[in-house]
Amino acid sequence: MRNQKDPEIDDYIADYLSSWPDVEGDPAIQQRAAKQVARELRKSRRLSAGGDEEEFGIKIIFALVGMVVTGSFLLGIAAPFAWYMTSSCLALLLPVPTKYVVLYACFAVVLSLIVLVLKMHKLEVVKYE
Amino acid sequence: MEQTDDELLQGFKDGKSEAVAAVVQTYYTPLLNYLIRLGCPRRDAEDLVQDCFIKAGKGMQSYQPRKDFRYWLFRIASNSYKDFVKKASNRRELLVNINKLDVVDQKKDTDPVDMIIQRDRENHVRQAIQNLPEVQRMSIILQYYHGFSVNEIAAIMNCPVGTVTSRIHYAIKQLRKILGGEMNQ
Repeated sequence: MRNQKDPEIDDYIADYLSSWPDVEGDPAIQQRAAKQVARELRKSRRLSAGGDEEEFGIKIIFALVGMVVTGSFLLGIAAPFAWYMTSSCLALLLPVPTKYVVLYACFAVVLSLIVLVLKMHKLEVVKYE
Repeated sequence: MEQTDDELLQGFKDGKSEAVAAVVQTYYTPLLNYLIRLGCPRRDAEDLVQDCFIKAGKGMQSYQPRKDFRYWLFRIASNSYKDFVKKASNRRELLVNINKLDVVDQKKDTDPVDMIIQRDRENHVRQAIQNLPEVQRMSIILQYYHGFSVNEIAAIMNCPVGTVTSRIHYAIKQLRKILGGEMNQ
């Protein structure tokens, strides 16, 4: 389709530009491309059809694993620390009961869990446009 | 085509073979020509066109039906071309070698002298267009070879209409300068 009506593109330039004719697409390559595109789009559709449930399941698993790992890690630090704090701080008349340390650990676990879930929500496929 | 455009595009999105084949058949050659004229070697242009269709199909969620599917495809092609140039320059590859550009099949019954003159002119036009800055090249190709309006080009290139008008103006000016000498000879 040539836009010959544009006053800017006068006959002079149009004549020159028309010297570069269209290239014909190879029908065999075109057909192969169509098959490949159809295959890719069906695959993509299949993934997106089951994707929501799968994605949610994966997120839950990740969240649980994250919770266990982070919780164990924090409690691993918190338990001896709590023991040390309770024993030594009591001696210094600055009582920090163990339950506060445990509460802190629980708070850290919940916080890390929230961060993890939020981060996973951000892991979306960026649509190309 | 018996299907309406909406049905066709829905079929395309779902990857239905017939719909995909129809869409590819309609837009394959224009997109291929667009990319080749921008400066892509033919083989890369063919790969890019295929990618454009896949990206279009996958991105149909963000496609607004009121917009023309054709210029949406050209927008994807333009972005794909920019990515291609970026990757090619990262690999420090020479993107286009004018002498190695695809030669269009000539009609067998053409006079050899006319053929040589025609090919010579074609090379000059290629060279002239390739010498334009990328944005001007895109604008002039979209307008002249694909018949897009300035508004549509602005939508494809994601820039104001005034910018497109000015790019086309400067491209024409530049082409006149480059091709002017040839015309007078």
